[in-house]
Amino acid sequence: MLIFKNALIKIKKQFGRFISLILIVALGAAFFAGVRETSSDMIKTLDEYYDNTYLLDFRIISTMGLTSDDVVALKNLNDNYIVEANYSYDTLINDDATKIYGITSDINKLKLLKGNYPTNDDECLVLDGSYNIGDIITIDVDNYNDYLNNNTFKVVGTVDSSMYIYTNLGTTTVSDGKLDNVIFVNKSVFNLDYYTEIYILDEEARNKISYKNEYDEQIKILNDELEKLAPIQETKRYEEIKTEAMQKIYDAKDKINEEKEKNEKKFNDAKNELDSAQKQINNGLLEIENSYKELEDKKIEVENEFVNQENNLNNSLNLINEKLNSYGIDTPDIDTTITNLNSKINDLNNLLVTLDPSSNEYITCNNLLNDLKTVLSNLESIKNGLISLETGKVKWNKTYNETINTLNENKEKLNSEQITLSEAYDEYNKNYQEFINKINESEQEIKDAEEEINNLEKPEWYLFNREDNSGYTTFYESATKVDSISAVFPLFFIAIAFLMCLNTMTRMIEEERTEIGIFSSLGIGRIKIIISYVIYVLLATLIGILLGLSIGYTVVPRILYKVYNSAFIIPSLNTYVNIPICITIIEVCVLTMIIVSVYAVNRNFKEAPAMLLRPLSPKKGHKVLLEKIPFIWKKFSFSWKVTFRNLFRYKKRIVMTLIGISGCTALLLTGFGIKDSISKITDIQFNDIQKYDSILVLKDSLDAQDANINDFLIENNISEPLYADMQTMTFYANKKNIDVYTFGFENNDIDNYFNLTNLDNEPIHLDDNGAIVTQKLAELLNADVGDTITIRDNNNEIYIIKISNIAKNYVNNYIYMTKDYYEIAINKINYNVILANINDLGKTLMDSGYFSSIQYSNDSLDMLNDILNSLNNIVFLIIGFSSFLAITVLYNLTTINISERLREIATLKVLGFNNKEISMYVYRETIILTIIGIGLGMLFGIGLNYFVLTVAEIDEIVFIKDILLFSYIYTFIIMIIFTIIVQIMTSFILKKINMIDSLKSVE
Amino acid sequence: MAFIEVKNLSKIYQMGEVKIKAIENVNFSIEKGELVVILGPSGAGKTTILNILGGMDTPTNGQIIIDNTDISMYNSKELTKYRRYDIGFVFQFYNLVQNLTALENVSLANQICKNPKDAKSALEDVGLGSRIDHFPAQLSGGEQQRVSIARALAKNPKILLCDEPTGALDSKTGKKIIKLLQDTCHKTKTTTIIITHNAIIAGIADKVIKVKNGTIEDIQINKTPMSVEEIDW
Repeated sequence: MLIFKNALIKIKKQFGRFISLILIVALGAAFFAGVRETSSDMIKTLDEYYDNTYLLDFRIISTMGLTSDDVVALKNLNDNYIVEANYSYDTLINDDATKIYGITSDINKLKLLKGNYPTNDDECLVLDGSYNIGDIITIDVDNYNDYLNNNTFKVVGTVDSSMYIYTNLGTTTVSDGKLDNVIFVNKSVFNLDYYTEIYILDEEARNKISYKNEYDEQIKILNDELEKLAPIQETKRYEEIKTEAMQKIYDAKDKINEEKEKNEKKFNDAKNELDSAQKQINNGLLEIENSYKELEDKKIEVENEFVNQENNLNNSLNLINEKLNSYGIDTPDIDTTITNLNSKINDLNNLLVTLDPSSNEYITCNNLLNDLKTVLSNLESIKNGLISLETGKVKWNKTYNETINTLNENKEKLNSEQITLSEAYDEYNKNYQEFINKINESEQEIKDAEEEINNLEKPEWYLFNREDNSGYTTFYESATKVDSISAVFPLFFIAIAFLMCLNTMTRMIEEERTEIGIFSSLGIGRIKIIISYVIYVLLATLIGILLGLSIGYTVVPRILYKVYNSAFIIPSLNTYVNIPICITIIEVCVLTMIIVSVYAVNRNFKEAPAMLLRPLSPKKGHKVLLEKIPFIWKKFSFSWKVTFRNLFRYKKRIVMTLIGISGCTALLLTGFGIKDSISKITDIQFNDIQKYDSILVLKDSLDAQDANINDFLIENNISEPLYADMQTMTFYANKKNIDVYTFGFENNDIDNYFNLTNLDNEPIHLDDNGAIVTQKLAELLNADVGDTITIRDNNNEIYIIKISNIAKNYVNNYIYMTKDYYEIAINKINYNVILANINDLGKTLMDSGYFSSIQYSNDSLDMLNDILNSLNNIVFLIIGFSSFLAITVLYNLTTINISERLREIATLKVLGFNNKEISMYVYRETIILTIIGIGLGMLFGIGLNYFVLTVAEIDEIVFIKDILLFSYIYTFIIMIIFTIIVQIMTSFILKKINMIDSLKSVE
Repeated sequence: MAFIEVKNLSKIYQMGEVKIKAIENVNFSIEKGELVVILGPSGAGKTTILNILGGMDTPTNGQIIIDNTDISMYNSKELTKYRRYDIGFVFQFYNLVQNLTALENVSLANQICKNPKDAKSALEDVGLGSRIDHFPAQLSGGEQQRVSIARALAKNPKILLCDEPTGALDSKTGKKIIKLLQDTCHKTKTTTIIITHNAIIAGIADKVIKVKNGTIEDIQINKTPMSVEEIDW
């Protein structure tokens, strides 16, 4: 109890010192715990965010879309897998390249900040900070309806998405290639018959901490499964699409065949009809011809008959006529003859009457008469014959003519029918040809389609994991940057804190030497005495640690986290207390402090208690080295002489002071140095070394310059495009594969776009004998000019590259080659990018269709700056903490200095020194020590800065380790200001020193 | 008027509720060049008188008129000046700056006054001419006290205040120091005030002021002060 009381009295007596001890421990602990914990807090906070929003592990995209069968197949992989299919569509809204997503329910859940979820297809959600609730947004392009049912949406809510935690949203295929905005609509807005993407999340991986190995290992399993499943589903999809297409073709073929058949029958019928009509016409014509012929035959026959009859009749007539002539009857013609005959007959009749019927005469006459009468009847029958012959002739002729007319008429009719028929034939032929052509065309089309199907490439799955999300990775890189710095700093801090404690304790025990002696002589055990000091130290240390840890675990991470909020859209930080580390810190600190105090107290016990009761004999004065150089020593004023004497009197104190001040100076300078380095490298890399403002990624790679593209570029005033074959490869160093970009350039002269210099700042140029590699790569591979290095492409193909030069470079690793060397070392050159300065023509270039994307140097610069800016904050923290530490250390040292010389100062007061003189008497030393300490600290700081930056350098970054002059000046000024502040603080202590103390005996 | 006039001097320390009267109603006067011993046992209040006379403390009541100037109402700045120019102080424990040689210790005081003595001759005056470059640790107690006296005298003070100058010394050395003080006083006519509990020293003084329980018990004036050799330790 007494011991405890004694400890409390000690605290009361030296309250300032106790507080400074607490503060030093607290600072050390706060910095150590805070800085070490921040990145882990950040990662945990983000992990929780990812978990709560069910951020996908993989996003699957296929060249031919995805189906519910894919979803089922993925779900069947493992019960732990959450699978959700979704749609997305890149388009333009208000000239912003905007990605429209379906709102998912199981994966990539959105965090609704304001408003509500869409209730219909006319509403949408937007990322916070883009549009306001109530805004109406409309898609700029017209062909939206290939993808969406709707082109106008009302904003009903704002959200955060764990997919989009970075202000740089990534790339797109529209506009200038840079995604400006993301909105979310109900899935039902999409009218696609396939899914554009499937998200998959492994519950197992969700339980792991993102970014950590455990997570990577877990998703590696998923990755392997997906890679195994991909070909199966690809084939399925391929077969499905092929089958579907083939079915369509078969259907089309059937339809064509059916059509063909149907039409052909129709055409055949029509043809037959036409043919039979033709035949009829032909038959008719033939018949008519036959009839003609028959008629003519008959005509000949009839006419011959007529002639015969006529001849017969004429012959008979002639015989008759001869007979008649012999009778004396004229026979000019038959009618006359008949008339004449009749008259003869009449005459004979008349004669006969007159004649005796029995007379000869009569008989003769009668015979004659009878003969004549027979002749007459013959003649008459001839005449009748002739008449009927004539009648027959007339009748025949009539018949003949009629027949001929009829035939002609028929023929005419047939001919006209033939014309119609011919026309019909023409029509038919035309139609038929058309039909054939159409069929052929269709058949060709089908054939083409068939060929197309046969040539159909298998769909390919693309797997994107979280690492492909620039927000996810950029955040990690930013967060771990803190770690890389924190590797060294906190230890340094702790070391200074520890030294200061040691110093304080030693001093305190020296001061209380008499008390220890008294206790000791009173027979109080050594352990009890030690315990009273240990209690004091423990109290200070524990309070300091607890204070430090509570600040370290709450305030420090929040301060550091602040910077991330500007570049990332992330939830507020959850701070975690890392109990094991706390315990370790407490254990280590408590142990060391106890050891320090036990050591310091114990040292006193070496002397007998009686000796302890006596004051420690004052340290002897010494002449300093400087006095041996009279011409300098004599120049000093008396007070300076005193100062130098005093300086070298307490060597331990000098060392401690120098360590303290130089340590703080080094920390400060390093803080500024890091800031210098950070602020410079991005600018130098992306403006001075790489002078192009963008890399245009060609849609189709080329083996030579393309005149169309060149014309297009010239039209847009983009001069001197540099064609290059750019590949990402890896090299093996530090036990891992590190990315390197290889460039094969079309031109050997790339000075327009690159300002390559070797490490001695001399310009270097490409040649065909080797490649220029960048410094970090050379350093990691420990390679020099003339050496060869090995790199691999992503198919694990190995390439050997000869180094012709090493170029200064700060960000990423590059290998630059001429076309010729590229073809020797790597492959046939295949230009896939064009380097150019395009200013703000991104959209024009993207619209041209030549380019699939544009990588803007400014984006890379911004992204890197965002990562590096996270260092800025820690730099401020370091500067802040170092400043605070510097003040505490200076205060601690000055108070110790004063306490050691209390009596001296009191004496000076009695002698009539005024406050200013007394202060100067003490401060002159402090000022000299501070200046020397600052000088040493700056030297030390250069080394520390180099060391910290070297440790902080990752595989793709080289920091400039030079510290700017201004940083030295700032550090100097800050340290001087702190010194002044501390002197002002301690001047109150000086003022309070009681002169009467000088009268007391030496304690 | 005397060189030093102390009138109705009181010093009351307020310790919480309790008032402690260190001295009360002290009156005395000292002539210029006098060697005065203020004598009293521990706790009598002589140190308080010394503190007030030395300008290290201010009285609660009363006046201290030194060379026609009342210093009782001085503020700390004026007191500093007073200490600086008017007072030479000799401490019981010498209070030399360990880090400075004898000469430098004297020079330290020299630095701040208007017309100081030469430091070296001051040391010669106290008989340390041959050891001026020694550090205090290399000197005996008596020698250190001599340095202290030289330091005080080098300022050419109006008053030499000695606080138990022999307190830490053996009798032989003590005597030598007292002798030095007496000689110096007589030689330089510096008003010297020695504060001591040692009654033997009183014999050498021109005036002995006896203090007891915070008040002046008695003031004796020695018309013929003894020489140091005469007093018996």
